[in-house]
Amino acid sequence: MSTVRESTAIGWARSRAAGPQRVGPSLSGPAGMRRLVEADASAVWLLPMVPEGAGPTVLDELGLTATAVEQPNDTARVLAACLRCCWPEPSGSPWPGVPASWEQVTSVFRTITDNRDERVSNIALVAGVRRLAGASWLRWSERTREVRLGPRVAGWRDPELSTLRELWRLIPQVVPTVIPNVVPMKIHNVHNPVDKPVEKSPSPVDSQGSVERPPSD
Amino acid sequence: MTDPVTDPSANPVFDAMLAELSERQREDVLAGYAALEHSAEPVHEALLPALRDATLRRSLTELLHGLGRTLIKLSGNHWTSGYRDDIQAELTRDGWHPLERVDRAILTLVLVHSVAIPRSEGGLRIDQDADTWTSPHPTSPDEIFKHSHLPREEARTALGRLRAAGLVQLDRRRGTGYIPGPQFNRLTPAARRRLQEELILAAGPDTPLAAAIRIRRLHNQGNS
Repeated sequence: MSTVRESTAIGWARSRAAGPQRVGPSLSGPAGMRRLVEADASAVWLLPMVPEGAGPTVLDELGLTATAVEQPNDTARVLAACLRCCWPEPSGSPWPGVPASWEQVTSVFRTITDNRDERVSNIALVAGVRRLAGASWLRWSERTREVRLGPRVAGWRDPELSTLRELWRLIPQVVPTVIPNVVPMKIHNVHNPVDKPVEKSPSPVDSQGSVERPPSD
Repeated sequence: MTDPVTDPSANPVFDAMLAELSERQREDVLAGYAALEHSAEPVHEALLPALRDATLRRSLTELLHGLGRTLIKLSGNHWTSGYRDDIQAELTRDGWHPLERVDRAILTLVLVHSVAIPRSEGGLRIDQDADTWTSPHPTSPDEIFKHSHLPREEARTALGRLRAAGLVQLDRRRGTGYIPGPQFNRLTPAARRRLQEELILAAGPDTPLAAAIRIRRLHNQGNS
């Protein structure tokens, strides 16, 4: 198991099992993976990149379904809120973005969900962040109570980014005025476990710009 | 901040393995890869030229192999992909595991209650041609909460992660219990055997069958 071919196979399999891997900045990583340097250059994420015809979007053309995302609409709204907060300059790449406080994300999420009941909103937000962090679309720090974009956002291609930029402009940036006293429950920042198919990009918009589109199925 | 990549879809691994194919063949193999790797359920071969055509299937197999995966044929001309056995062994050799401990515990409970116990009682037919991890015996949430000895919220969160990973699924036809998820289709024959042995060791550690498994493993270790 020492050849380049075998280490490439192991690297891809590890990523399949546990999501994009975070490694030291000096490691080059397996072939075919994109190196995403963190903002402070302290580490690098290795993101598998497949050719366009080999990605999950092909499933639609074949009439197949990907693994379903629970609460797809709210999950998409949570991602939209985090993108609005963590992507400061949408003309560029969303990676690495900037950290956003839990209060910022809560305020934007409540705005795009029509200020539904605070408790219900918080439950949906915690569950969505947990789900998205588990799949490496987001990162969540329990210590700093900050949300960051995860390495998978760097996999979006130009057409998807164009749509997301339009969405970004539609969502108002809200300055949090009320700090929710509901402390987010534990959100495990783990990656896709085991043999989970890579989820389709949970784009919070469809081609018509609706925020109702389920992120995966 | 990303390293400079001119074309985000450029991938030397795919390019090298598909270099000798025509554009059409390349598209077919890539579609086959996408279907097998990303679909929640196994795919019928009628849907994909890369599964029907022997030459294309060989290319697809090589592509999967280079990425640590293998082609798996199921009953009824359905196919899926899974980890190569040697890659799985290499990944887990030093105890590495992508699942959290609590998730593994909950998954084991579901497998024991939905598969191992019904099988030991003759309630599950063991058929080499069928998916032996399909179970009509859901494990109820109450059973999971009771036997896991975990706080309910922690067990619920773990179940959510396992559902998201396709490792368990809700069996709505028979209530609201959990059964093994579609990812169990992705086990190779060797992986199925290993898992079956692990279930015997977990569900009946004092049985003669468990003793035989332990002896055989010791014997194999001695020979390797």
